[in-house]
Amino acid sequence: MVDGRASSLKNLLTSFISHRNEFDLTDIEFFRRIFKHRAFQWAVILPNLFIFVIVVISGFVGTPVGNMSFAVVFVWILWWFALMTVLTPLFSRLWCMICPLPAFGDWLQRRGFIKKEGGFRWFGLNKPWPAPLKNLWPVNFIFLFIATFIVLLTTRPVVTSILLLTLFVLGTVLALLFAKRAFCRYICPVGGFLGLYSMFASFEIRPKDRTLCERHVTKECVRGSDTSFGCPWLIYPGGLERNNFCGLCMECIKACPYNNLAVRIRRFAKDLLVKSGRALDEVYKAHIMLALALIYIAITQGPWGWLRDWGNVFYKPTYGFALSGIQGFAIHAAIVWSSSLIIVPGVFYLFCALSKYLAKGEGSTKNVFINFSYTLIPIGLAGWIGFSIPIILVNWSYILNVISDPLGWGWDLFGTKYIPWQPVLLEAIPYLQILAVIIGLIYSIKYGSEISKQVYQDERRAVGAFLPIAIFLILVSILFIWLFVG
Amino acid sequence: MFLLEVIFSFTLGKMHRSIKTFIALIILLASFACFAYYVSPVSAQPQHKYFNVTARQFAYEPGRIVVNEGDIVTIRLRSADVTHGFYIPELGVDETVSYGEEKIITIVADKVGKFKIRCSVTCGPLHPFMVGEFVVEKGGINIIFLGSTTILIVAGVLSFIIFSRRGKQVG
Repeated sequence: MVDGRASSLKNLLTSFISHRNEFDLTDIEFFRRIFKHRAFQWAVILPNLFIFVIVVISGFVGTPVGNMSFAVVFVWILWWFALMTVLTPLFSRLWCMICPLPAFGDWLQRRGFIKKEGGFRWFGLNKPWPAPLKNLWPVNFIFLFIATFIVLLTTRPVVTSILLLTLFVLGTVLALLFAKRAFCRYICPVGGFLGLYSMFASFEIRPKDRTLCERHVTKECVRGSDTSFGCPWLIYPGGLERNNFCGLCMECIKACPYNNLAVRIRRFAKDLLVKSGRALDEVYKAHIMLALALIYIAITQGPWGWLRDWGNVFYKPTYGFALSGIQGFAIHAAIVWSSSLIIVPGVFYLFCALSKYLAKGEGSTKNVFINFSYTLIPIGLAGWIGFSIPIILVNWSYILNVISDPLGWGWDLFGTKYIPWQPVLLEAIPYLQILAVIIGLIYSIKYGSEISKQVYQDERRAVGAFLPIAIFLILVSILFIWLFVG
Repeated sequence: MFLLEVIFSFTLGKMHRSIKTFIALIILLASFACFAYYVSPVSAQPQHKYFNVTARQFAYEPGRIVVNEGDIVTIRLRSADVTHGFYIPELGVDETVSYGEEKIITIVADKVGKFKIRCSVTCGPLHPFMVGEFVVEKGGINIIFLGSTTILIVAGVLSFIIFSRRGKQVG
């Protein structure tokens, strides 16, 4: 017994880096029962929905001062940090499991909160999502549009609340028009980058035995059963190879009559080697996220005040030569859009062309571009982690302040409202950022070289093809390091 | 292109991997040592330096102050609009300045690195983004940047060599 436990613990601890010791949580009775329980997702969404309501209300009726606002502090300090440094890298789309945005839509579609009643039928029009929009381009453009207003969003509570409320209403309305979670899959701006970076995560739901799923005719994981609504994410769990569109709702676990789905802790970045599903719309997300990481670090953490002025549409120049709010914001928007859609992908494309030349490859440069763009995921995520570290270490005390006075009405519920602003571990921040970038680079190069071996059968060509990409990755990493400590 | 092909052939040559790794490391470190030597000034004696800094919503002008280790820095701080902070706890600096006021701050640059100057007084919507940089170099070189870049490049090159030589992965 003791040996068995020790072995399980060893498997768990090594599962993050080893492909031999993946650890299946459904092997543990406690987790298996929780995942199969109908009230599970409802129970994890409910507290989050409560916080969501406070966030939205506080943005509308609370203080307009960003760093004193529950809306801004909870969303852009606590949630953002947790999402980018813990939830997504470790647990894939765990956020989607507990996200309150599509909750009402789900409950309306299902005509209930938890149970599936006898004689069940979906509520709403239940239309299929339009075929031309079955890709990530809408998500990319919606995300980029919202990202353009980042300075406004992260500093004006009411703007944060308007955005969240809009997404909530949109999620609900789309649930009434289209089948299942079309909103999460094709519209949600958060879902886009969570899907991308969840490929790096050390967590997955996968079939234990794919042949069993192939032979199984009734496919309850998709269609649903007496105890499950089936996958709301419009995917076939029996064929899952990547995390991108799995929202970890556990409906498939509840549905499978053979208990053939595993919830595994696995090695990081495993999905980057999965060839199926690679597409231009998806890799463009990687370029957008990389460009935005660099731009946001420069705007919000750099010494360039004029960059912040440009991002602030309400900026009123008070001295010297300065552009007005609208003029500056137009330049800011041009920088954000051109960097994300043209400059970063364009420069990468040139490196891909060089890669093709060195490998004497026959395929199109576009295919090289698509395949190698997945190498940007670890380094991009590392950049975002580096960006997020100072956000929490500098501003953590604001979280305690707003918990005691969520609406900014002068309450002091827990005696923490007046805790002074006190950044911690400031001297450690640069080293943590450097560490994140170096680890990200190593993962990018490791998986890039393996992708290259997938694409080119000949080892010599594979190495040649990857060399320019590795140089690009190193240059991007140096850029991050320069922004952090240069 | 020629250079890339040389590197390409180097990574695939018949030389033992550990020797190649060693050579790569030596070349890289030597390159950076040469670079550091080239950019460092002849004399880096501690000096007394003076800066006029204006704090305004939501930046410091100039936004970046660069000094050498050991320098004594005197900053004449003014505000162009509302009350702002000038906070660098790593160097023991915590000052505020109101509009119309002038504060003299003396900093002994006894630690190397890039330190953020942060506003410690809520000064408007973008207050959390109001940062500047106080960079303390050693002999004219930002050694944290140089050192971390060196480590990063070495890590990148080593990763490239090691992972490129590993067996083929099944995708």
